[in-house]
Amino acid sequence: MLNLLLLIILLITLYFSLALGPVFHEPVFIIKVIEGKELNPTFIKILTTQRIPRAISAMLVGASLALAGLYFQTITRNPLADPYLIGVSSGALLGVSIAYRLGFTIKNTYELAMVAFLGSLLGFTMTLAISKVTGFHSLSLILGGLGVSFLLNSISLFILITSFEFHKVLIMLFGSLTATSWNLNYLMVLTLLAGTVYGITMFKGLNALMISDDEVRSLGYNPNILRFMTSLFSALMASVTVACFGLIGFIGLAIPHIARLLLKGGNLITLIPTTMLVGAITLMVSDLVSRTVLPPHEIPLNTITGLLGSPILIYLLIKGVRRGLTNY
Amino acid sequence: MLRNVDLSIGGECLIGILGPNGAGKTTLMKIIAGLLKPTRGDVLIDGSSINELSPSERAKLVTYVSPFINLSMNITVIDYLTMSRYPWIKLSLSKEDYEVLEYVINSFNLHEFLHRYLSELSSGELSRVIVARAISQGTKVVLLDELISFLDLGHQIRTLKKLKELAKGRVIMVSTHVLIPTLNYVDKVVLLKGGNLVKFGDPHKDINDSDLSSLYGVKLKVLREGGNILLDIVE
Repeated sequence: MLNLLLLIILLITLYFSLALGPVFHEPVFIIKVIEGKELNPTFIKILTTQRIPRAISAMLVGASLALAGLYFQTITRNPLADPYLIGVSSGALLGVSIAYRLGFTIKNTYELAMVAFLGSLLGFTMTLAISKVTGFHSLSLILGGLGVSFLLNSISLFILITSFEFHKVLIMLFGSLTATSWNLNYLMVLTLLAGTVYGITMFKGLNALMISDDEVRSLGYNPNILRFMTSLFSALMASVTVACFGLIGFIGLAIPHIARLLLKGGNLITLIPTTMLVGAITLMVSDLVSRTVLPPHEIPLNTITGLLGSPILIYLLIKGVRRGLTNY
Repeated sequence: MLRNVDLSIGGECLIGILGPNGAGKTTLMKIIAGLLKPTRGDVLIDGSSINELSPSERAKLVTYVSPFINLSMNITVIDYLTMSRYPWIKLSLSKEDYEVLEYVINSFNLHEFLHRYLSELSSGELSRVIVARAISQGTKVVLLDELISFLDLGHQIRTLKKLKELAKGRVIMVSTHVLIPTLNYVDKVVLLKGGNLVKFGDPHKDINDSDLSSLYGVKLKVLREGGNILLDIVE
C-alpha cells in the first residue's frame, strides 16, 4: 500500500522532471507530445536525448545510493553509515581520477566503473581498518570514514585539478547528472538489479546481521561471508554512481532512515523496495531543483542532498548519543 | 579456555551453568551450539557431531542467544521473533510457524510489545523477548546465556518456571550469576571454574557448601528446607 503510494508519487515526479527544464518549461508539454500536438523536433530531441535518460539516471542513482546505504548500515549495524561518509564514494572518486589521468574517458564506461569499484573497496577497507583499531564503535566508523574521505578526496582533487578544466572537476566533486546517457543507464540498471536481487535473496541472514553475529550463526548463516558479499554489492552500486555522476552524499544515510520511519520497522524485505522508491523520488526531485532554480546554471546535486541529509545525520547522532550508541 | 569438560545430558531437562566471571560459561555454551569450534573434543547431539552438521541443519537443532544484541536498527519485536523461524521457512511463514510464534507470545506475555522497537524495551522486557525468541526457534537444545540476570525477581521466578515447563520437550541450558532462585528450578547444575568442570549434578542432592564456596571464593552455606534451596553467607 505504501509502496503503491510511493510509486504514484514517483510517476508524478517523473512527469514534472520531463516537463520542466531550462529550455522549455511548461507542465502540459508532455501531454501535448503524447497527444501528438507538439511536434517541434528540437523539443522532441531534448526530451529523448536529455530529459528521459536524465530522469532515468536520477531514479537509478537515487535507488542505488539509498540501497547501498541501507546495506552498509546493515553490515555495520550503524544507522549513520552512508557510502559518502565511510570512504566508499571517495575511494571510487580516487579510482575515477586515476583512470581519467591515465586517459580513460566517459566512453570507457565499464572500465571506468571497474576502476571506481576497486577504489571504493580500497576506501571501505581503510575505514574498516581504522574502525577495527578503535574497537568498532559506531562513531569511530563515521569519524574514521570522514578521515579517509578527506584524504582520498584531496588526492583525487590534486589529480583532477592538474589534468582537467575546473568545471569538470566541480562536477566530479559535487555531483551532477549532466553526463547522462542511455549507455550509463544500462550499466546502472545492471548493478542496481544485481544489488536488489542479492538483498532480496539474502534478506534473512541480513536481517539477523542487524541483531548480532551470534544471531546470524545461531540461524545457520555465516556473518563474515554475508558482510563480505554485501560490501561487494553495495560498493559496486555506490561506485558506479560516482564513476558516472560524481560524488552525491547523504542519500545513503537519509533515505533508509526515512523508509524505516514510513514503515515503522527495520525488516529488509519491506525496507528494500521502499528505500529504492524513496531514493528514486528524492534524487529526481533534487535533480529537478538543481536544474530549474537558477537557470541556465545547475546547482550541484550534492548541495541539495546535503541540505536534506545533514540534518538527519545530526538528528540521528544526537538521538544515538543520548541512547548511548552501542554496537555489539 | 575450557579443559576436561565431559558432560552427558540425558533427555529433557533444565540445566543451570554457574561459575564466576571468566569461568568459561559462554565458551561452553557457544561450543555446544556449534558457534565455536573446540580445538579438541566434540559435541554430540542425538549421536551426531554438531561440528559435522551443515549450518542450516544445526540451526534446526540448537539455539544460542545472549542479551548482547544491537538495538539501533529499528527492528520490531515481532520481526525479531519471526527471525527465529528462518531455519524452517522456505518462502513465507507456514501455519506451524504462526502457531509457534503465537505460542511464545502467549507464554511470555508479549502482546503489548509486539510492534515496539527493541530499543524501546526495558532490559527486563528485552530479556523476556530474547528468551521467547530462543524458544520459538523450536530446537531440541536451547542455550540462554546470561538472560536471567536482567530480570527482576518476579520475572526470574516466572521465567524459570516457564522454562522448566518448556524443558519437558527439550534441553534448556541457562548460564547465570543469579544462584537463587536458579538453583531451585534447574534439574541439574554445571559448576565451572577457570575452564574446568567442578561439578555436574542435581542441586537438591549433589551440591554442597564447599562446591559453591570454592566456586566464588566466599564462604557459603547451602540450606535445604522442604525442597527449597537457600544460601547463607557465612563470612
